[in-house]
Amino acid sequence: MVKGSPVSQPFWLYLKHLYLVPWHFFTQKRYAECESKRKHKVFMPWILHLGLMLGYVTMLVLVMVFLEQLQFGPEIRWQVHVFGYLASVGLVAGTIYFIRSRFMKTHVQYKKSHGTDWVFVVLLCLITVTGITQHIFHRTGLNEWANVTYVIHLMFVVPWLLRMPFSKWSHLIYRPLAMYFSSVRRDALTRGNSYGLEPALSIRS
Amino acid sequence: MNNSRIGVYICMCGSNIAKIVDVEVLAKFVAGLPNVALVKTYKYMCSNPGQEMIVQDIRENHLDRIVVAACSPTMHERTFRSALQTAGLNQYLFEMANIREQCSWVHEDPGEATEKAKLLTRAAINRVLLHEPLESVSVDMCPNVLVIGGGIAGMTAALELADAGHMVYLVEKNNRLGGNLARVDLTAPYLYSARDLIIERIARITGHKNINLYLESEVAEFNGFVGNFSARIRQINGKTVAYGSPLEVSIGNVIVCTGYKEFDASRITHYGYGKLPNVITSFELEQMIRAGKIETREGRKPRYVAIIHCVGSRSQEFHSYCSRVCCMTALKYVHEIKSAIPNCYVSDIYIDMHAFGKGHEDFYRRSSEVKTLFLMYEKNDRPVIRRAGPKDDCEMLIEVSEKLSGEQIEIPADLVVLMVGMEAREDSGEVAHLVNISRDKDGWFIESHPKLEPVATTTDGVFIAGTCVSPKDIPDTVAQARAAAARILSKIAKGKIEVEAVFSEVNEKLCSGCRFCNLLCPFSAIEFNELEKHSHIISALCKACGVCVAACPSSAIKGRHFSDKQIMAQIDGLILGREETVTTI
Repeated sequence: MVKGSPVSQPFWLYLKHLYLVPWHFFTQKRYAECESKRKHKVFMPWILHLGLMLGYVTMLVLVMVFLEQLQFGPEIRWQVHVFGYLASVGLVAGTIYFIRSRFMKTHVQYKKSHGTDWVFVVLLCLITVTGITQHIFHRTGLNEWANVTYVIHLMFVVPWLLRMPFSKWSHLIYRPLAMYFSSVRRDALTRGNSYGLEPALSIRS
Repeated sequence: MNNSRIGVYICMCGSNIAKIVDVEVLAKFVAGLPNVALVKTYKYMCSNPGQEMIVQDIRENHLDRIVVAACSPTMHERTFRSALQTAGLNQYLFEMANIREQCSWVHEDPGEATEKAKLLTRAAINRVLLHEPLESVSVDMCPNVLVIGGGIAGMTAALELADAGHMVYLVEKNNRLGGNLARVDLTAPYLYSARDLIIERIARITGHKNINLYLESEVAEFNGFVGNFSARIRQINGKTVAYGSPLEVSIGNVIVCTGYKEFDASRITHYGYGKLPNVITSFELEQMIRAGKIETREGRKPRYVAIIHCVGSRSQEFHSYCSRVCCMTALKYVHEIKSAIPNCYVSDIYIDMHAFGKGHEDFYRRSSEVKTLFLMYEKNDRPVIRRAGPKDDCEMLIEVSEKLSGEQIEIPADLVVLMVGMEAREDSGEVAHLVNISRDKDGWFIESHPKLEPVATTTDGVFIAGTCVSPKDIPDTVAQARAAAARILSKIAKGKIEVEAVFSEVNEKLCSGCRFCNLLCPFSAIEFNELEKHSHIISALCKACGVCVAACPSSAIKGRHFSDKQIMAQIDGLILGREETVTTI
């Protein structure tokens, strides 16, 4: 039951639509449907946004779960890092594209872009670049340089970790959740029809 | 099933809505919805014929709820609510669907926009079914008025109100009245004496039986709500308030006219203000003119005077806005300098000449006829001032990239006048906080609506006038002061004030006394009852923003006209059919 509504939402509807959370999380389908995003022939904003998000999530998993196994230098084969390299491509391409969009003011939202809107992409870009540099130094045996770069890398990571859970990270989850709950609600409404409204298909008339 | 009879009116807004949204398709869709008794489309629903049509339909067709699909409610909700009242229907049995700002103006595809308009209108219909008739609350209106600031705006407003027979408390920080205008000699474009403009007002104010004047004073505390404010006035530097008047005053309305301060020219380092002795600001030239002699620091009459416009204005680095008065003031200086030193060469270095007001264009023409050298410079290519060499017959040389000729021009100058722009006072933040009004990014006070409510603020009973709102000239300042006074007089004339019936209410039985809402309320509308340990909302101050409703952990606060049921019904109206909207395109 939703507060203030006469329509109940059975528990099984929540289970039925649960697939929508990972679906929207990993495909960002709604983002691709936005009017301004559809104008691009190859859906470039969507592809790069998806690349950035998948790269970010992959890198987060690699750092959180596999950091110990992957922090050897030239001793392990570079092919082991393949997921990290793919994630880096997504992060570099995504951050550069979105920084460029903010510079060029290509969309309406960037024309009034606030300083805080830059922090996300600029910090992420700096984290990626310093991370890649550190990795190169590490693998080529320049350990002192690698350590210095790692310190710089952490200088960007710490403010990022302090700030991001309350800003950009939240939209990683609330968009899929919003799509999930609205889908559950719509299903319940079309079954309940408590407002005396015709179900959804009437809109085609 | 609800037995309501809803009338739905779809506005075309000229072509603003109709060019994107197919209003006939929308009307056909709406006609098929339950409880909709009547659907009409019209070119301008907000026009008098449009409103009369609604009134007539309510009476003839026994409609008991109305939905208007048109522009933003901020624009015309009041208009349509008045129409409902005229027809004898409770004004809260009304809902607007915004199919202009949220639909036709932001979408390019007519098919999609029409589908979205259907959803927005259906959501409004869904919601209006659950609306309840609400009655506005009346509170007594205290006829006394507080005016903060004793410049031309404050004096004008105070006299206007006092002449109408109401007690005015006029508070001024300085030890004199007149504000910035008292520092000026003549005014553009008719060259009237500024002194003559204010002296008569000052004399009347000091002798007026309905005006309590507090010089060197400030408002220390300000509480209450429209019609029933209280303020505590204290004198700066701990002195007691003069004139034997009360320190605590009861007032019904406030006008804030705290004025502006001039831009600090030393912030633009390459003009050399503060380093080059003969680079002065416009207010320093005013002082010289008022003293009766225009001369350099060395006491010589200048042969060459250069006036540089837009110092601190129209620049991304400092203030992006135009200060509006500098162009005409500069032309005024041309006349004053020429009449004081007839053989002086005056150069006027400007970005654009803004001669927008009555008589200003003629004044510009007359100024160019007195052999002034006008040089236009590019916004981001400021003139450069440097000391002249021993062989030059002047104090300084100014290099200007002249925009019209495209040439680099060097002109001599003995005296350089910087036309400093206006900026918000340093204490504007404190004043805004005190009377609970907002400021924009530049520190100017924000109006309730820039076009339709230019002197009202979002806090009922608090008005703003003059250059504390934005840069403006004397006629506009006086007009605003009189407008604010007129708004207050019309409120006082009613004796009571109607407060919007939409506000939040606390269920005292459920309130745990956590006071989260007290801290969050942006309008200071929630007070805490220490004895009974629960919060109470002052309905006259509440703007129904809903922050407290969302924050209350005990769900003890409800928003009238924004109940959970009403909001959910509206959301449901939007959710139904969303996927179909997408897939059919």
